[in-house]
Amino acid sequence: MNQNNKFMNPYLAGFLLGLIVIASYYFSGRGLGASGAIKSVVITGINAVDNNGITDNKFYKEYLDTHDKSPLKAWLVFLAAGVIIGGIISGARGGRLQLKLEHGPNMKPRMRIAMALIGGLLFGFGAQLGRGCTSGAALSGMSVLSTAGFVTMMAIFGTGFAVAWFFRKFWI
Amino acid sequence: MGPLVPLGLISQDFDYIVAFFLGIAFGYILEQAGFSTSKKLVGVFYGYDFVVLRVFFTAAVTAVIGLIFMDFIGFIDFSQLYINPLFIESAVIGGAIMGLGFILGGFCPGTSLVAVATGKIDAMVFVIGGTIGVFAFGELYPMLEGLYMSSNLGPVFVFNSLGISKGVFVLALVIMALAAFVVTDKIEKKVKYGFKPEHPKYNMAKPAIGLGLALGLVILFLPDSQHSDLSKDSSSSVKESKITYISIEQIAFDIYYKTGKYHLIDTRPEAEYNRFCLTNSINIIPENISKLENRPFFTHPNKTAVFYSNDENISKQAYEIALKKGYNSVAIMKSGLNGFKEKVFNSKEITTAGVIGDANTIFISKFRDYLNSDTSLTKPRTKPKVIVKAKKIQGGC
Repeated sequence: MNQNNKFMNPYLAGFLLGLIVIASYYFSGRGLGASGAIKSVVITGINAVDNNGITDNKFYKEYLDTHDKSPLKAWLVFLAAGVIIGGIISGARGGRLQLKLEHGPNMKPRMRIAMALIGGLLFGFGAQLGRGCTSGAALSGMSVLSTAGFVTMMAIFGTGFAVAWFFRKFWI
Repeated sequence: MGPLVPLGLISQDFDYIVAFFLGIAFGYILEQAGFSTSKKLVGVFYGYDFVVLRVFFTAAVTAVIGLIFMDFIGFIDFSQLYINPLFIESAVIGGAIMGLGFILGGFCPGTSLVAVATGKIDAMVFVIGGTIGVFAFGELYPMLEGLYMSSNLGPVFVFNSLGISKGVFVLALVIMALAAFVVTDKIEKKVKYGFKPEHPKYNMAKPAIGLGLALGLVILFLPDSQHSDLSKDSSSSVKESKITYISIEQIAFDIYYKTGKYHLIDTRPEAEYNRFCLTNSINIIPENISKLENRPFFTHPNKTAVFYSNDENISKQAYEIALKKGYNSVAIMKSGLNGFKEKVFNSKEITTAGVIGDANTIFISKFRDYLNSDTSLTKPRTKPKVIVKAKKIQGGC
């Protein structure tokens, strides 16, 4: 394996990430998240385009009843915007800013794109059903010792390990 | 003392700025750790790169210990933090679907954003897929609602679900994390595929282990602020720090979702109880606590008796009497009925567009509507419980 100093020590990164989670709870009373940002944008987007379709859908309605119609006024959207900026800054410092399509050594680019789309779709769907993703439900949930956090985390990674072998040709 | 926004110490608008800067730090660190490439992310599933496990576990342990410590020194009020509720079926099935999505797509939402930031086209496609997935969920919601809303156990803590104390759980978590770090380090060195994974150079093993164990031991001996196994020495008078409090939100949750965790005991004179009381509460004044006919309320195996009064005075008296009688599953509603009315009925936060994470405020306004919809909910029950149609709400991110 290559050992170099490109990336940060993972334990240090984890420690700093833990501090960020603490800060999030200290300031806002809630943890980090990501899938919710996508949810905000989707629902407010649909609402902007088609008002009628929304009002008889309970899932959309519940969100719109309790949040601003503008996607800009959502905590997770602000967080997500910051994440992108933070990623750019770090990538720039590490010389990792480059438009590219990554894929496993045995995976064709077109297949990779198809799988990225499907994987994203599953994750988007699953995160709604599971009320959060690895950042929101799992990481933040575990940080406050919620059972939901641990259950979701185990379901995500447990399933990942269970199916990894079947899709190994995607990655190795 | 935190949390600043829920306690009204900083404004909602400032909260968005906080989110933005937290995000920058979040994205920066994730990218620094190498989370902007699907190759490093799936490495945990194939044994060649355990960066995900190292970062994740370390972050969780750091945050857990940090938050508990801050609660202990009074820097944060843990009872005001958002605890995500457990809906068993949807958590497991949703998690499984996400797990599959992770293997196929190579990202999770947070890391996909970081990867998009660095120009990864596969991540951009992943995000587009994610958008479609959310949309699909919304459109299919009528079919999914049953599953989505089933088995709501509320915001339960993992150590309670496991029946162990918080300190023991955290220590076990730290030990498991350290064991995982050692084992995965060995696996990583042995696993070889047809390409070279990128790893940073470092040697943190010894200090990490030492620190982890030390902190774990600290937790073990920290008194919990909300534990149910109270001191058996009931002859000493109850000090302020040893009282078990249940927050107004927790009680509201229990009433709204009918999770049946609490026996609500109104300790005030009957006349006041008849005018206004909490749903399904029973009126027992302190003098009557030791009566035999009231024993069942304090000895139920799964329920905690929660005393309340207008402020906390009478309920504290009741609490002490109950402890002396040997009843251990007792608690007091924090801030009393005055605090309850203030929070539920007089709260000014109703009209502000709630932030997603401020689920408590959103829930409280739903709870207020629920109480206002039926006056019998705040009057003594005269017969076996009146069945009220339950309105359901979603939670979380």
